[in-house]
Amino acid sequence: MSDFLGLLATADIFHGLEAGTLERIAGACEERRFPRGAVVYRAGEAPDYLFILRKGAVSHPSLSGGSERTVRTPGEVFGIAAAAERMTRHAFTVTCLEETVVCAIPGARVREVLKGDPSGGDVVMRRVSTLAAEIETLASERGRGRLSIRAAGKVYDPEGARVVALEDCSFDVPAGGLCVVVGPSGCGKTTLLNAVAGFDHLTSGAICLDEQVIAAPGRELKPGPDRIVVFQHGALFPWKTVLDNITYGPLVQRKMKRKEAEERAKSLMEKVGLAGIESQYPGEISSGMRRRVEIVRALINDPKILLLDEPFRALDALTKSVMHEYLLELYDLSGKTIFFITHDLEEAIFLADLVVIMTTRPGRVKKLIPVDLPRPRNYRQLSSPRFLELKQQTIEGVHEEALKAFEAGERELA
Amino acid sequence: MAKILTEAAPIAGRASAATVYSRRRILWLRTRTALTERYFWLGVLGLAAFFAGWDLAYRLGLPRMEKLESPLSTFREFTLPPRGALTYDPAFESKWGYGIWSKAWYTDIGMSVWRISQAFVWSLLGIPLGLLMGWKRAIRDFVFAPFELMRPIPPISWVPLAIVMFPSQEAPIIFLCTIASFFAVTLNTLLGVDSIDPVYFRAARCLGSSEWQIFRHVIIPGAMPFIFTGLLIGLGVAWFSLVGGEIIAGTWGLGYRTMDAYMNVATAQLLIAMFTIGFIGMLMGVGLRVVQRRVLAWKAKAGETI
Repeated sequence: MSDFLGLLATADIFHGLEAGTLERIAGACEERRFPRGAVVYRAGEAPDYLFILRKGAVSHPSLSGGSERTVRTPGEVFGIAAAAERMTRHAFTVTCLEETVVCAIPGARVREVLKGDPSGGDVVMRRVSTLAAEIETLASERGRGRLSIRAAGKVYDPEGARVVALEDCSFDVPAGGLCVVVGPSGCGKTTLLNAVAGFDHLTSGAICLDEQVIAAPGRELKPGPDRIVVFQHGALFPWKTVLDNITYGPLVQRKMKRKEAEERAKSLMEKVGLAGIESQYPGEISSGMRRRVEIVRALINDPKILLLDEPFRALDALTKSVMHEYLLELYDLSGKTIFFITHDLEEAIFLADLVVIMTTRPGRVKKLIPVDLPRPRNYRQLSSPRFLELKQQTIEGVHEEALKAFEAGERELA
Repeated sequence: MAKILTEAAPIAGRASAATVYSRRRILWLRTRTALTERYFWLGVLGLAAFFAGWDLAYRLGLPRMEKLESPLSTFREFTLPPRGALTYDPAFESKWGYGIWSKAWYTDIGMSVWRISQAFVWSLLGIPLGLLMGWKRAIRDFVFAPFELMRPIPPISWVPLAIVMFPSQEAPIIFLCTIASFFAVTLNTLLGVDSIDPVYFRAARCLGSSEWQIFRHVIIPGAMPFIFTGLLIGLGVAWFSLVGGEIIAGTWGLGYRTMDAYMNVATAQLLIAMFTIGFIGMLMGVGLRVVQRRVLAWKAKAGETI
């Protein structure tokens, strides 16, 4: 009880309340422990409790300002919707990034106590409402990045030899979704990605990002920082240091001053375990690190969607598995929409919300497989029955296409 | 050079992985490593073999070689003072008085280096031209045809035109040197831009760069390795034309001196002038490589040979 009181006294939102009021709130508190990876609550759930962090870290925007996507300072509050008036749902899903201890307070109790406190209750109440509204806004901003691909087609026709790379390709990636496109080589996955990125024209159909058409026949090619590509073989500028590579985007767009960009880059790098290599050149670090730096270089621009073109293809199996967990962690933290291309089926299912299987030339959508494995994901799930079942489904879809591609290849050779 | 770096690493590692050495200590470590390396001594051996072979050929009076001077007498000629400067002992005097004791030798070096330097600076104009040609297709198409028409013309055949166009003593020579190295610099710069992996352009566009920012942050640094190759080649061909130009139009300079020595049948003097050209050309090359290592630190640090 008394240590709850101490914790409440350090919490910013309760600042200004009298000891007696705090005591009445503390009386209703209970301690909860969560292992790493556990979900405290999901977005959309009815808010019953608000939480104060005692130990550990959770994925939730920090209420103490800044662009932090993690709450890790003891005394910080999340789940504020529970205490606010007329809030019916949590805006974010909160998962524990490490072993976490929280103090849970019934929201109804907080409201009741604050209303009965004449000395500072209404000030705190207003503070709670403002914060809850801010969190809502953040959540709706997070909702951007919906990709819709509508009957997209691409015909390469250099000298009258019509090569249909992509035909009548349609699917949607919801905002914040992770979509993985798989298919044999030459199935047009890269063509599709290039069209989304703005490197290549479509010859039919359209691609929209949120409400904006980003690719359609005859439309000017316009790559931009709202959809950033992480390339297959990496495209860090070898002549710039790691830090200069990461700050490149914000600086050329004049979004930040150099000092600000460098601080932001350093804090991002620290968060993903890249601290200490700022002044090195890409040629001096390992290929796994280069990939991570490249993802950070993309994320610092706050893109709507991240396009990954077989980014882990050249990595060895062990590095690859580490990179998967790393990418998923970043995905959970940043909430960006991700469009990922691969021909590795396990990788596809392990990462995706939605696996898109494409047919071999002409590239069409053969099958959409929604992946309902719970997040956050870990490697134990690779042997779960559900995973194997999904893998079986995917293999059936892909194998046929691979065979077709193989035979077509044989014919071309013969 | 790259090798020396990697060879020095284990020595540094022996003390402690985290030891930080002063610049002087690193220089000493590198020198020590170089001195214990086989390739260094092979180089010394090669040089010794060259002079020994020359000496032997002269002593044996092999056909053609008997017309030369021996390396030893050339060296004496180079290092001994002229008659009367110190003694009147014929064993300690140089015959033609062209070497470290003569003002003429220094003047020749000064003139030639000054001309080469001016030509080198002028030929730097090839860098922006090459970059622009690589950057914008239209500029390339516009410039390339006349460029290719002029490029195969050997610098020597520009001599008469140069003398007609520039009615002074210095300008035609500098012009000849510039012509020669300008094409090498421009063409290598263009090649450098072409050599940049297109993925860097895509990445730069993705990150929101304007055309100018791509030029500044991708094209210039990306072409830099080839620019340096061009500068090294340019420096070499500038020396070719310098000698040609000075033979025809000069009254001073190392190239002029070779011709002058030939006229006077002063073979030792001819050899001295030739070796001086070789040595200074080598020094300039080394200097340029030092600059190159600094500018291309990103490549050197990645362990690539440059």
